Amino acid sequence: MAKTYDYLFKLLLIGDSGVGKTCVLFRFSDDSFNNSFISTIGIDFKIRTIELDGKKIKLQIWDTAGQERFRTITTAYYRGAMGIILVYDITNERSFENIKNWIRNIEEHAASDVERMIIGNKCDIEERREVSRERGEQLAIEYGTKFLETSAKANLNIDEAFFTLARDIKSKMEQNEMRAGGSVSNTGRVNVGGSGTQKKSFFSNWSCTLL
Amino acid sequence: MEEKLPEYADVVVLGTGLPEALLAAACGRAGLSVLHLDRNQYYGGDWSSFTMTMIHEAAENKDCKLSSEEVSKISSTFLKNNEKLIELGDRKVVDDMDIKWIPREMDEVPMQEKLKALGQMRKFSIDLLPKMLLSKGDMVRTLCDSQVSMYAEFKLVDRQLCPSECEKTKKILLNPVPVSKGEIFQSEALTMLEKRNLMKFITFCTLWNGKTKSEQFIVMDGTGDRPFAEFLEMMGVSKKLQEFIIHTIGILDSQPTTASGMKACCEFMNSVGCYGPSPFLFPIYGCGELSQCFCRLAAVFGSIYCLGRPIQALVEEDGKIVAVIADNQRINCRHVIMSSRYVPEDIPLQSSQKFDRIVYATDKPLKKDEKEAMTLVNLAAFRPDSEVSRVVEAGGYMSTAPNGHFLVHATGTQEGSSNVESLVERLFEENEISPYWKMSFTMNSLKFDSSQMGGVSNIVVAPPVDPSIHYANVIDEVLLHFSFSFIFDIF
Repeated sequence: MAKTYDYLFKLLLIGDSGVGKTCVLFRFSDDSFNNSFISTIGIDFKIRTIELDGKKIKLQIWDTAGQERFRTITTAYYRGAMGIILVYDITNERSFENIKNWIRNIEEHAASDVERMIIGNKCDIEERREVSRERGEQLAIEYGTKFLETSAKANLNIDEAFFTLARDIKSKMEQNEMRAGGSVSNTGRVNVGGSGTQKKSFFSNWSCTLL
Repeated sequence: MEEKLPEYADVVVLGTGLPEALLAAACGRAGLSVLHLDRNQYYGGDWSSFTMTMIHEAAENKDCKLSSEEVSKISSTFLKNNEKLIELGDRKVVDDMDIKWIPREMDEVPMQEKLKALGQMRKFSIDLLPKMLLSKGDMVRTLCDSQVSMYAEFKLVDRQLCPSECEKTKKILLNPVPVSKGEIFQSEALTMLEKRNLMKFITFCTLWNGKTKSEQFIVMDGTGDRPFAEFLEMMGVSKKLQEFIIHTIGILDSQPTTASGMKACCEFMNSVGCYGPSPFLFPIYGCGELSQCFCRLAAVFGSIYCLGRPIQALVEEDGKIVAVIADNQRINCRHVIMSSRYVPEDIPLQSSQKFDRIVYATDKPLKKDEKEAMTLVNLAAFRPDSEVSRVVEAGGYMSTAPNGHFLVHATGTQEGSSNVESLVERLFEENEISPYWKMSFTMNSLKFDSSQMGGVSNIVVAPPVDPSIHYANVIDEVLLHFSFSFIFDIF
């Protein structure tokens, strides 16, 4: 099968429960928004292919599957991530303070050269703002990351956030390729279950006997 | 920040080891609400992988037995009439843990300090229980069916070495086992005639694979329980070739009978060529990833995860568990699934088996090759009385150690006089390898009968750790448990 893209980037969303990670994800991937809060169920990742400088870039964006609630995000979640968007809620001081903890988590478990970005979501709800834009910018400077205030609801800066991160990853990647003299390939990795030829026997039988 | 646990879940799962994770994922997928708890801060329990920093912390024992005051306090707070408190156990699955850094003359700066300074302690992923995945085996099938395969990445085990003792030097020689057709024909270990005979035997196995059980039975002619070598002899396979075949498949079954040997041959050959020359796959970053990945699947289907909080007791009423007490909260439930670690102390064991695990960190491979490789060695020939004597070496290539470093995992059951530890250390000595770090412990495979839970009917004990190379037993038992406990409840 021919590849329909030039690059595949694995991105993660991280941040406290209820800051709107899933909404950001849906706004970016499906251009949709749902106002009611349902803790994330059934969402693994979403895909959107974007174009940057004539290159097709497939963004695979992973959601936390609700495992941030009790801070039980698996270390496996961070593997292979090339970019991470840290999300806080501008109407929730706590979620802003916790960004530090999430960054500590990333430093511990993600690749050391992972691209990071901080976004303050829900910036459409100015009347309930608890975290000023300046404090957000200050934090981003402290950690050397880019910063944007966004609103998934009003569709503010969501595309900008993902495009900015993707552009940073792309330029880093191209630099690395130049240094390595050619394309950097992941040797030896085996594609298990990705070919679409899988026979649904085991797990599907489990649910069949039940229903 | 301290969120409360839910007040109700259809299933409460205790322990996040691989079998529990599989069961949680299956329950979540089947539409049951699942609360998944672990006493540890980390995922995986006895199936976990650790960084070099974490393993030293995890090795410290924490006592989680309740005092009598706590028991009476919990009882008076949470129990209703007719309800009984059952204390959970903290059974020793990993025991006699010993970890040490080994000072070496060659190191100007001690390795521990060097790794720390380079920030490489976290580049280790030290498996408590490393296992291989047969390419056509049950685990790979389960990963594909559940689509958990997309959460992890795998690489092929790129060499299998077969040890033999050199007649002159008495050293252990590590001979590469040819697995593909091409490798067999290039092999220097076999003569042309043997190669032809081997290909003949492989054809025989292929035919065998297509036969029915009863047809196979007729071909075995009553030798099913006899040693495999006798059957091979009967088939006209030469002594040397017999050894070769038994060594190769010995990694799956070290003391094969005709029936189990043929099964192992077919499993092995089926898997060869599936993803590449080797029949075995290994998860990048180690086997601890697998339990985490199944937990993620469970979470995607709505299971709630909470780690590192006390799991205190069960509440029983009329022969059923009606609630779990954890983190000083009562969670009502219909089923409890637990790892053997949590089984209450007064429940009798069905069986147990101890096996030795020794892990070394080195900066020189067992056998030099043009590339950094992942190596599998079956040492059964040197410990003929033992069921399992296996060495797995994985390093930078598998992202289980920093580049240029290796983890050498020895696993051995305890029958017979010699132990696997002395054998590996002999290999190190003969190959002038000096490990800078060593961890040794025993693992205890504690088996319980879920139908014998002290008169309680809705507890499922997940299958325990086992010394076999692959996941076939685990998957088998998990499947059995799942269909058994949940069909009966629903219909």
